[in-house]
Amino acid sequence: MHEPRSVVITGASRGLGLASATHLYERGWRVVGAMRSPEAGLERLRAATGAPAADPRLLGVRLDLDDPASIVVAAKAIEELVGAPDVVVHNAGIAAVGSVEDLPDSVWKDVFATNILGPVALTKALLPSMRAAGRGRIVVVSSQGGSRGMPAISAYSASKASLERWAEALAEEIAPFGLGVTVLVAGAFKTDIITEQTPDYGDYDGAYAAHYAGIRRTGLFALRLASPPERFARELAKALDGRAPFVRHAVGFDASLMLLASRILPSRLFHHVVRLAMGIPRQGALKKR
Amino acid sequence: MSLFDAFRFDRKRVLVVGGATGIGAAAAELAVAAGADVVVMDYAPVKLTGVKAIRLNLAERASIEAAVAECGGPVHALLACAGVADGTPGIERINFIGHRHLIQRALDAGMLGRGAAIGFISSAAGLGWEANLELLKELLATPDFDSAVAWVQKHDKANYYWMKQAVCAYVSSQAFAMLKRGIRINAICPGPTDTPLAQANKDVWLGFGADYRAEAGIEASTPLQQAYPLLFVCSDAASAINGITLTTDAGYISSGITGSFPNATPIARALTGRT
Repeated sequence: MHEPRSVVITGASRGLGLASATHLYERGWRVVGAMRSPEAGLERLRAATGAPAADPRLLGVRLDLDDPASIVVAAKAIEELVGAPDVVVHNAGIAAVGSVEDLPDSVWKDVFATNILGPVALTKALLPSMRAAGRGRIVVVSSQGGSRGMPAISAYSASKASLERWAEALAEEIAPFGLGVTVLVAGAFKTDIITEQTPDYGDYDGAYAAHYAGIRRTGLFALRLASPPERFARELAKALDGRAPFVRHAVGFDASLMLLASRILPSRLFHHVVRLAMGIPRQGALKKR
Repeated sequence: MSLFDAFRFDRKRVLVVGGATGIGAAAAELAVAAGADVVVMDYAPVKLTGVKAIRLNLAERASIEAAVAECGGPVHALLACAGVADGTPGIERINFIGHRHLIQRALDAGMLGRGAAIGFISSAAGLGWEANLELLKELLATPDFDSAVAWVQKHDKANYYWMKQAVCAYVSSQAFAMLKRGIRINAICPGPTDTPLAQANKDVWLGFGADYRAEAGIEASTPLQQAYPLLFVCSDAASAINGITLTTDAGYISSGITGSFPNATPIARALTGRT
C-alpha cells in the first residue's frame, strides 16, 4: 500500500500553520505539527480536520524555537514518529512593530531566534536522516515584508531576508543529495500576526509619530484585504509537488505585485511605491529647520 | 468615409515586426483575415500561412537592414511588436533600438508614405516616462543604431523598464515629424496579457493586477484583445490620434490613481510619477 508522505509544520497551532496542516491532512498527508503546546495544538487540529484522537496521520511534537535543547528533542521525536520527513515547513514566525529607534534590543534576539536561528537548527537536526533517505524538501515561509525591508518592521524584515538567503545557500548544498528548497513569499493573510497579538513598541508621541499614523491608516486598510489562510494552504500544497532544487513563489496578490515591482522598477521608483503604500511622509518632510 | 471603411485593412500592406507569437501574431492574423497583405518579421519561425515571412534578428543591424530590403514597400501599417524580458541579451536592441532602426530604414526607403501609421507595444513599465524625458531625449538624439546601443551601455539602461520608457518617449517625440510626412505613430500600453512572454515569467507578470481582475470578474487580457487596439491606432479611424500611448489595461491604472481600486494606488501613483 502506498505510504502517505510526511510533512512537519512548525507553528501548526494557529494561522497559516493550522490552515496548512488541516489542508494537507485532508489531502492525505501524514502531518506532524511542531508547536510550543502540542496538546492544545492537536486539539485545534482535530477540531479543524475532524480527525479522531490517535489518528496516525495527525501527530504533534513539542517545539520551542527559542530553546536549542527543545529543537534537538523535537527532531528526535519527529524521526521516531515518521522517520525522515518528506517535507519540513518552517512556518512559525513572529513579528514586532516599531521603528529602528523604538525597537528594544531584546526584540531583535527574539525575532531572529524564532524566524531564522530556530529553523536553521531544526533543519540541521533533521538533514542527516533526510539525506540518507535521498528525498525531501525544506519549505520556508517568508513574507513580502522580507523580500523587501518595510518601515516599522525592520527586525522582522531583516530576519525574513536572512531566512531567504539561508534557504538559497541551503538549496545549493542539498540539491546533490536529491533534496530541494522552496521559498514561499506570503502576502497579507488573516492571522494573528497582523493583529495586536504582534507587540507594538512604537512611541506614538515620539519622532516617528507621523510614520505610525500613516502606517496605521494604510495598514488598517490593507488588513481588510488580507486573504484567508486557507488560500495560503492551497498554494503550499501545490508547491509540495515541486521537484526543482530551488524555487521562490509569491503567494497572494499583494506579494506577487511586490515581487514584480521590485524586479522591474528602478529602486528609486520602488521606494515611492512602498512609501505610498505605507503612508510615510515624503523625503525631507520632517526635517527640522 | 463610413465607419466601416475607417476600420478597413483590406487595401493595406501591414508589416508586423515580432509577429510570430503573442500580440504580434494575433495582430498578423487579424490583418490577414481583414484582407490585408501581410509581412511578418521575426526571429522565431512564423507559423501563420498566407503571409510573407522574413527572418529578422532585431539585435543585429545588418539583419534589420536586410529584412527591410527584402520587405520593400509600400507599408501602410508598421506594428513594432517584438519584446523580450529582463535578462535577455540584446534587450535594448530587441525592445527599442532595433525597432527604431527598422522604422528609420523603412522611412529612408520611402516605404512609409502618406497615410501610413506605426504602432508600438509599450507596457506599464513605460508609464511616467515624462519624468525621465530629459535623459530619454539623450537616447532619442543618438543618430543611429550603434550610437544608441553605446549610450544605453554607458548609462546602464539595458533593461525592460528603460526600454519601455524609451518607446513611449519615442512615439511622443516623433509625432510631429511623422505627421509632417503624413504618418502617425502611437503605442499601446497593455495590462497583463496571456502571451508566451508572460507565461515564461508567469508567477510575477500575470500576478500583476490579479486581485483587480478577480474582483472585477475578468481574465488577463488575451493577445487578440491587445491586437484590436493596436490595429485600431494604425487604422484610418484613428486619424486624429498621434504621439500617444493608449493604455489598454481594463482600467487598472486609472482605478489605482483615483483610488477606485485602492490596492493599485501605490503602484499606479508611483508608475505615473504622481508621488
